[in-house]
Amino acid sequence: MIFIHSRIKKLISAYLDNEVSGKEKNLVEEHLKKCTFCRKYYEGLQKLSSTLGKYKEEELSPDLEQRIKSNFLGKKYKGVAKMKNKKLIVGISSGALAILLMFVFVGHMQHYSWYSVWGRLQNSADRIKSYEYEPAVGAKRLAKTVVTDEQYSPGLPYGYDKRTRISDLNLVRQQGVNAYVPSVTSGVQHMATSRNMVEKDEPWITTTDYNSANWSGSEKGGRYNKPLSPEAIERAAQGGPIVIVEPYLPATGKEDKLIRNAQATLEVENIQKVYDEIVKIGKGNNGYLAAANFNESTNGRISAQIILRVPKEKFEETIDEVRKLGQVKRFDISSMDVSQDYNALVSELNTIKTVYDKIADKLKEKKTDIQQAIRLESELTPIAKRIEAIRNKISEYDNLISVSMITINLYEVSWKLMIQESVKETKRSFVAFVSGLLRNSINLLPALVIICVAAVFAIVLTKKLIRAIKNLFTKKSS
Amino acid sequence: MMEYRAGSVDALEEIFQRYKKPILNYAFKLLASFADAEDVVGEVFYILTSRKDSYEPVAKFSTWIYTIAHNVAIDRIRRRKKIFFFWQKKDKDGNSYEELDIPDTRFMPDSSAQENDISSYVKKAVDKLPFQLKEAIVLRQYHNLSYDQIAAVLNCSLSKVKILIFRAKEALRKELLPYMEELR
Repeated sequence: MIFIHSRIKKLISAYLDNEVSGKEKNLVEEHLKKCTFCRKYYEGLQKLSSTLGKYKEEELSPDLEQRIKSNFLGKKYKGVAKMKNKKLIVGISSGALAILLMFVFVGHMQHYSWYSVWGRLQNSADRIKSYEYEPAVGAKRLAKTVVTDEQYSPGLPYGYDKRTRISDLNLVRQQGVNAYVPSVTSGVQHMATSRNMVEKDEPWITTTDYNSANWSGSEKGGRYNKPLSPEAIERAAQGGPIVIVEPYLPATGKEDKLIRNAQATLEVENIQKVYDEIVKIGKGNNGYLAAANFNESTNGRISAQIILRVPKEKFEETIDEVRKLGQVKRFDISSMDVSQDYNALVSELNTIKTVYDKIADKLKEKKTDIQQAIRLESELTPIAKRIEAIRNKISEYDNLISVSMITINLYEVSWKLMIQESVKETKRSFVAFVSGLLRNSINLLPALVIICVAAVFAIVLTKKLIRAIKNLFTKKSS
Repeated sequence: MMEYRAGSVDALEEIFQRYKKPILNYAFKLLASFADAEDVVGEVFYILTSRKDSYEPVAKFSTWIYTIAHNVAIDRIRRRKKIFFFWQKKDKDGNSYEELDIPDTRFMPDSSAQENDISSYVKKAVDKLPFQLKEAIVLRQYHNLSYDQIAAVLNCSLSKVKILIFRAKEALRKELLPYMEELR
């Protein structure tokens, strides 16, 4: 019986909604006639239906209706409040992202500055102090430290490398001297010469002119901008800091003994073809092929090194022709002035020759006895050797001067390789980028967490606020 | 709708006038938030205009538009859950509510009219229903959809719709019994 009632109850619900079949309808109507319990239930549901009808209907707020209509009736519609919220969320999250990136950047900079800029500043401060109170001591110490890199490094502010030092020197040409004048950076004066200069054994002197008002500016630094007086150079020879001068060599003319070489790196499509061309160019310019070397690297790239030697008169022409053979990746022309060495050798040769001739004349004299002849002979031998050596050296120079050397490096263009290399490079830089980002992010993890939480709170609260305001408005309007 | 598809703006205007209120009330009953309900209206009409070409006149238009509204409302509830999961609290019956939600004071019994009183009780009772039951009874009671249409909107079988509506009525009857006596 209970089973029937519960089944009939379900049917009554559907019956009220007119959702029963004819058979079910009959069943329900029959049952309702008999069963007072189910009839009561039926009446209850009817009442429920009318009670539910009391639910107050809502109206769309007029301004929203207007907005919806004007937005999408005939035009594009992009959400109403939803889009507003979306914009806000996007705005807030991008703001948070910007703050985060700023933190990463600042963190990175701080990391850098702590070890580098701060170190420099401290070092600079120390050095300025030492100049202020003991200029002579500071000067001497600097003068010593210029000599070699090994001694040089400890005396310099932290973070300076060889390249920085050289770039910090300004070349000033005054009164026939080349003066390297240090510019002042980071608030400290420092100076140096390149190691090459020392090794080349070019004539140079260190000058000190700390007291002669050639330094303009305060203890914060200045620039050597007045002509070097001979007295200053004289004083400088006593030892001291700051300026290195080297004798100024006049511009090179035709008579100069110049060794001129060139080095070119070309990217070509067909190495064999270009090689043939180069040989032709060499012959056409009265030159010759000095060396050629072909090589296939492990990644399949073919390269070659070809050395051409051409008379110095044809140097420029040959270079012009070579440059047209492919895409120039690098081109260096170097000139080495050996006039001084050459002239020294020639004059030495002349002097020694004079001595040699004199001794030889003595030897030819019939007055000379055997003993004397042997002594003269033994004296003559090293001189002859020296003459030979000098002559060799001169002829070597002559050879180098009269025939220029052009080294040509060739690389075949390979698209496959280029793509491979660029992919490799991209991968490498990507990994570097990600690892850098990760490192910084880990350093900033606590800040990151706080920012994220703050961002979430900001988003949520803004949404809530918007909803509250909206509700307030709709309440007012209704 | 077919007229609108053919390019008539007036047809869209007519659809809007006819359905703005039903959709608003449907969404309001499901979401219990007026601002959300208004958003749903906007979104439904946006979807309707942007996907007008996907409409096929195989079923009644009202079924189609209520299906869109149903999906939008469900989507909104999901998003709400995602954002507010840590602020939700359970009441005695195990229903979750938002602690920070601004109460809709329009239905508070400060109004002396009896009509409003009953309306607020009905609202409370409907709000208390589990979501599926609520949706089924709302579509039937307030929007006059047939059981077949409801099954299409909720994407379930006809027998399930029957059971859902029956259970909803049972729950509401129990809840509203004292007020129904008052009404007599």
